[in-house]
Amino acid sequence: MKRLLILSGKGGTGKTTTAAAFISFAQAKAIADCDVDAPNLHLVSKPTLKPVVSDFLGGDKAVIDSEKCSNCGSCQSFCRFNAIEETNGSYAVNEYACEGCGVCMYVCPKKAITLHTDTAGRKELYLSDGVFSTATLKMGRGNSGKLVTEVKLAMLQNSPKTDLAIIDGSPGIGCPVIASVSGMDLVLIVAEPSLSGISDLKRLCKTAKTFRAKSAICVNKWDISPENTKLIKDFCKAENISFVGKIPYDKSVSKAINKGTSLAEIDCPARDALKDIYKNTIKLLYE
Amino acid sequence: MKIAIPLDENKQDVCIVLARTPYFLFSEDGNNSIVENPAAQAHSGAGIKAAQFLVDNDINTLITVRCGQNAADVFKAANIKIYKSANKAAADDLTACEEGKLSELTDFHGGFHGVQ
Repeated sequence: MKRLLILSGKGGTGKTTTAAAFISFAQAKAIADCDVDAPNLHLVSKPTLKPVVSDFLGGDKAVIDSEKCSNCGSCQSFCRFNAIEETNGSYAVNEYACEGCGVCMYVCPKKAITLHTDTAGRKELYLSDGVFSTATLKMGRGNSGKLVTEVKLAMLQNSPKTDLAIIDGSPGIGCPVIASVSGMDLVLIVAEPSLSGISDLKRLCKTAKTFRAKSAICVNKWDISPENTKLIKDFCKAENISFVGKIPYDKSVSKAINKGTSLAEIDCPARDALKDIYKNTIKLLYE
Repeated sequence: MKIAIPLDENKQDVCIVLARTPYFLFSEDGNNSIVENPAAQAHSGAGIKAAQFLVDNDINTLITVRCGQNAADVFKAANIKIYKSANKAAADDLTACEEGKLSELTDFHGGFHGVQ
């Protein structure tokens, strides 16, 4: 099975739109949404069945037992994350600030503090004749890379025998992106021809290169700046990265997305361009 | 000599990450074995846990794409040599290592947790 990951560097360039269209073109049976901070592939891929839901367990969080607590404040003075809050002389842990180091538990003279495993997110697995794996990370949790790895593994372990897996990644170049890159056969980068789009694209290409991922680039809304599109093409040439096509700005795209339909289902210039990009990408995957 | 290589889910290719690699390939005098990485699911400190696991398994040599500073400190203390992976398939890295074609890894990244 070939694994295709779709990334962008900058947010809002059209990653999920591209992923949803590719899924439709390929009738893909193995799909994952690795953008665990803000997952939204389910909005357009519209799974009909109920998912199998499980907890994502993150690090530990401290809990103070108010019955045992003598309100001495020792925990607060030792906590280097300022995670212990005092209200009217009694103390409680701010779960968003707690890093689970356990210092408070160690210094508490009354043994009133214990560490508990934190439920840091929710994993969802949709199983039909194919598999769609997705997850949502809770606010302020730092284990996004670990959750991405679990989402990917859940897809692989539950996938039917199929030729192609399509994975929607997250923007940026951080932990969740790096976690999504491992084990991929190709990373398709959806670039936007803007100043920030090019800057973020270059940062992502550097990240992909560091992790030895084979990359390809396409440009979305290329005609909003033919000059910047040319800069991106030149960059591809200089860096020896395959340029697989460009999509024109097309008002039908936002209309389709807002209706929750995949672009693949409507007849428009953007769809035709995406279809070409899809063909080029598949060719590259099997090279 | 015992060599360790982080191994991808397909159990053939070198995994691009060290600490959270799903498997390790151990190679000792031509005998290869694949073991699960107990640090892969760690909440934090996976680099140090993976390094300790390799030290406990008495490896002399590690071949990897990248290595963090915390893990590198452990390997240094245990006198383990670190080489930079140059191939997609772990088997090719093993051959290259035996032929002395791999260069030593000297660039360790410290991470950017909270500071730039």
